[in-house]
Amino acid sequence: MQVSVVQNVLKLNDEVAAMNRQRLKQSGVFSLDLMGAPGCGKTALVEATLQRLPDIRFGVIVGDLTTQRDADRMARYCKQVVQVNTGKGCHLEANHVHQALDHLRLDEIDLLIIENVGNLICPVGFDLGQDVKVGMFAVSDGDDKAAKHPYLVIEAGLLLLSKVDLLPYVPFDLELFRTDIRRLNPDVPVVECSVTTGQGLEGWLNWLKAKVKR
Amino acid sequence: MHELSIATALLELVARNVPPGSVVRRVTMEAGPLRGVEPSAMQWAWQSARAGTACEGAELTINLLPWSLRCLACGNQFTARDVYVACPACNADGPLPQGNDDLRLMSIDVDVPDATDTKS
Repeated sequence: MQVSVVQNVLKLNDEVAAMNRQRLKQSGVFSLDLMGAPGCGKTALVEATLQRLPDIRFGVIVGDLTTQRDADRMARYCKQVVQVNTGKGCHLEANHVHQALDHLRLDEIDLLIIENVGNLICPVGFDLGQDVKVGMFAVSDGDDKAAKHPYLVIEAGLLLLSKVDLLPYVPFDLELFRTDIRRLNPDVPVVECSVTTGQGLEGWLNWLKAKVKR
Repeated sequence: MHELSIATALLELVARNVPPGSVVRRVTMEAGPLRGVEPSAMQWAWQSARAGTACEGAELTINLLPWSLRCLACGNQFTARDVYVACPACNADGPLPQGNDDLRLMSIDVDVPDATDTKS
């Protein structure tokens, strides 16, 4: 016999995500899910953010297949850092965050950064309970990456283009990149920056400050 | 590969919707284009994940849904297999994607254990 179901496949993940969201909201925490390809500079961005916004109380959850290296880097600037190792998992799921939250003192956090596993594709569809999804591209990865990853571009509340200090040295059509993004998500703020030189970082930092002031 | 996570989640959802002891013959799912489900990857993931479950011999039918798009020049709402298409009404480029990111278990074809069946 045929049983008609019509249910969201990720229902279980989304139920846990909703619990995470509720828990964060109750503690007054603003949270974001930072996604980007391996090597685009997510951890470097978080390190710079932690250093440049000393008045904000941060918490960080970082996902990697293995190693504690990212957490160790960020622990130099932040006392509340949790490393999640997914093993073979190419993305974080709500359950990972649910468990990580148990290791954080949420009443001492204003802003939670969840740095996802390096991957432009798989993480996008998994709600973690965050307020905003943030997507990151890098100049060194080529100007066509926004067009090739429409899901991330469409879902993002903010997009970053990092490593703009490399623009003189690699072929990158900035107008094409900007046009591709506008076509998919006309209103999304795009911050073009370099963590190495500091250029453009103010846009990112101001956006975060505005999110925390509530 | 996120298809494996989707397959695992699908199996859990199927298990919740059929009585214990059922033998599932077919599972039908729908995936919107935003989900980036690649059919052959999905089938591979399904075959890997279903072993040892009530879905062990079950076929997976995947309905891939088209993009919903809105033309910014003439307002035409239409669907297409690709997001980078021209408006079929006025030929303008760059229609705005409206979704879709559905990922749904639609139906299960199942042999339910007979109450009078003495075989386990």
